[in-house]
Amino acid sequence: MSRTSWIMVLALGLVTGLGTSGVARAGATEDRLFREANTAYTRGKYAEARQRYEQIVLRGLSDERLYYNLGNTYFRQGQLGRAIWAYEKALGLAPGHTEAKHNLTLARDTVKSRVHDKVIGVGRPGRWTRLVKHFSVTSAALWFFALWYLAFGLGVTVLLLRPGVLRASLIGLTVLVLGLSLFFGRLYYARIQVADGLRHAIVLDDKVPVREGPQAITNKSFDVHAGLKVQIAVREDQWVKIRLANGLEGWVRSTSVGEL
Amino acid sequence: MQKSLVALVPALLALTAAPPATRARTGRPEVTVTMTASPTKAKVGDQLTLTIRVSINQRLARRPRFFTMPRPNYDLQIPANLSKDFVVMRSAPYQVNNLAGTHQSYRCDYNYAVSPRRAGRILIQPARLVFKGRTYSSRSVVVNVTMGPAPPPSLPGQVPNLTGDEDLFVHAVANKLKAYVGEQVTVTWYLYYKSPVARQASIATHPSTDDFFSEDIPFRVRTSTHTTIKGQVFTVTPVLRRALFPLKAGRLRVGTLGVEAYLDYYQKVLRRSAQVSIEALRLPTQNVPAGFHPKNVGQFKVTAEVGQPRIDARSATSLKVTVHGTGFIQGLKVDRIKQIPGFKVRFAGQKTEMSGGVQLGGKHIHEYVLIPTAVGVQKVPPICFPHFDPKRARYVTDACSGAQDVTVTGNLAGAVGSTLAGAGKDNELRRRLKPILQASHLRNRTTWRLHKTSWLLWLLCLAPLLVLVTTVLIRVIRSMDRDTDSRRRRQARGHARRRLRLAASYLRDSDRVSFFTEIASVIQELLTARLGVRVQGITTTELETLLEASDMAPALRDRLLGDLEVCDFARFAPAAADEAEMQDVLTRTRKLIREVERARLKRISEPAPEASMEVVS
Repeated sequence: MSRTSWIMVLALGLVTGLGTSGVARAGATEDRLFREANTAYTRGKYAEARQRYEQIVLRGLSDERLYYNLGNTYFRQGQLGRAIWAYEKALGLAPGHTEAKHNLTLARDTVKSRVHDKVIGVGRPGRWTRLVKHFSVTSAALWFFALWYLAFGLGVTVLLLRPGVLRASLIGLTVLVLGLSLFFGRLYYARIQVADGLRHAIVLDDKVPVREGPQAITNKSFDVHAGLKVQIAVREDQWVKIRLANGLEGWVRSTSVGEL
Repeated sequence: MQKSLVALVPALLALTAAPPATRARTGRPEVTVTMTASPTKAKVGDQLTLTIRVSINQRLARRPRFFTMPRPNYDLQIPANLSKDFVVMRSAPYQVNNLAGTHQSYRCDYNYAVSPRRAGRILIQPARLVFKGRTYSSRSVVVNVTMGPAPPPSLPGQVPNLTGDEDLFVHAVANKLKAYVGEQVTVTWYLYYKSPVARQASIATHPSTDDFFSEDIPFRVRTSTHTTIKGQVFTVTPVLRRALFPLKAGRLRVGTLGVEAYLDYYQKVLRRSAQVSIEALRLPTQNVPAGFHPKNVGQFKVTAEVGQPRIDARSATSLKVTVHGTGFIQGLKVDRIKQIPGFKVRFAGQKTEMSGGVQLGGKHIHEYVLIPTAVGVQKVPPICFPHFDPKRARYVTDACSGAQDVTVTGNLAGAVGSTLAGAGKDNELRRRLKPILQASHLRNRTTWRLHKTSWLLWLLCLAPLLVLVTTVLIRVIRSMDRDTDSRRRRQARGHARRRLRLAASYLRDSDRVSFFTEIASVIQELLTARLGVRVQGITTTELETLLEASDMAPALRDRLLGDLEVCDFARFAPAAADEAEMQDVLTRTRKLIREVERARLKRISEPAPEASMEVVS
């Protein structure tokens, strides 16, 4: 195998390794259900379509088109919170999904025209946090590994060169690239922490009371409305503790929110 | 007789008032003192020029020395009441002194820039001059002074209150102390000062007017006036004028204005005005007309103007509605016209034009496009602008434009259709839900991340490992390149094997000379590599000595020397050796090489001089 081929294999391995997902083809039953659901949708039988789509989801299949179509079905039925959740799920699987982005914006705008949860007192995150969130896990990893390998590649070149101006310059460049790669390594690590440490959810029902404790008899603290993105702090039995962007916390029934 | 006496009087008078030159010639100095004022009619605060001219013509007793110009020694007494009735701002003497022989002609003008302190008929008493014991007087001068412009308006409670001997202060004056919300209050800040130097003043801090919408009103001409406070005359110059529109009801405060000015040419001081308190009144809550907006306060009128009173059904016309008047024009809220019967109304734009003057105002213009939807004479109804008039303290509902007629001609059926299609009807392209996606096969995306697998560690370690391997390889290659004993032995072994292969090929070709030459070279090169001494070109005896010195086994040594002798003999008598013998030599040589390689031999260092000679040769 030639050197170029090896490099291609390595790059491919890197990309698939860094990439978000592995792909496996679904079974024939899921495909049949999907086709039936689509037909029901186009005929305006949204309840039937929704039932079919949800059956596929319950079978453990994750496909952005499935969630996107499910989102459309929810939208048609006026369940905007669930529609937003489904579009967010689709975008989680395929971040560049144009249709999902478009319909998500439309759903959010429609929600805003009804009741809009205004979370007051959200502090502006620090520079480092903003920088970390600017990168996705994949892009941060790609930057890190590209610079990491470039630095060591330059190091090898330095070893092969005889002492001189070029070698001295390359040593400087190597140190610089290595420093950069370490910086991106730290950024990659921070991004992983953010991605793994935070679980988000979408409020599904039109109006959800947030209580002080994980019981229905506890006092209501405040209400949240469909489509609001919240952070899941704790999960306990049938209840989840949600946290808003401004730090406000409370308990809601787990069925009221859809985890992303 | 009486007639002749009457004729003599003027002659005598003329004699007494003889020309100076005539009298100067007689030896008496001729002295005149005149005083003039220009102009003789002025206002309080105006500037006048008072000139006292002294003229002296005299004959000197003796001719003065070269380059000396004697000045007549006199004492001038300016009018006693000058500084009382006038502010003397500056004086500038101007003198001319001519000397012709012993005749001196001297003139000096004393110019005073003065400003009257009071109004009325002011008599400036004569100026007096004492020269050589005699006193000369000018005539008195009368100046008629009237009052200047009115002093700044002062409402009750706004009169400057002097607490001491202030020479300079800032005073704020509001044109009204009570105003409705949205009504204009004009506040002017004046600088009061005694010294004209203070005229060069600058604003250090602007007043805070947070509870107002404010607009500075520039001065076209900054006219100074004069006023008397507690017997002291002050010049009053306006510094800043600001129109204020209260934004809320209650007692609102206008902050202080800081002004920097010079008390004299060297002393710069900062003076602040007092705060001004304005009571902002709420608009009446009764009889509020429909469509009234609280910001519409002032005196306004409305005009409406149709661009073309006669139009074709296919075209359109414009409607310009102008609200003009005085008041809070920038905050005006004019409702847009939504519909006019017989037309489809399109809003085309709006603009506000401010007008100058102390009372702020201007125009607020709305422009519309009217697209006909019916033919015939269509009426644009009166357009009204309900507002609150603070002067009359009531709401105005009759500020309306006149009705306008627009005649629409042509065929509406065809025309309206085209007009509506082109302009009247919107083709609304709103965002819509994108349709569902079809797929023959679904995929199951199982999310797994690199950082959750052992691949991350491998990928991390691969790069340093590559560097490590490269480093090791480089070290190995460099060590192999180094010139060592074992390397030389390896090289010699390699050479020997190649030469033996070459010798074998000579054997096959029956090239005896070349064969034996190669065999000899093989043995010699091998010995050179093992002993560290070049053995080519030395005698057999010398070689034997070297081999003894290297502790070579005697049997091996004898065989080596024997083979070398065979080779030497065969090279000079090639015909003596047959192929079998050559084969035998080759076999023996191979065996010999193996034995020499295995043998433990001492390296013999080559003598330096010989080596150097060898290099030279």
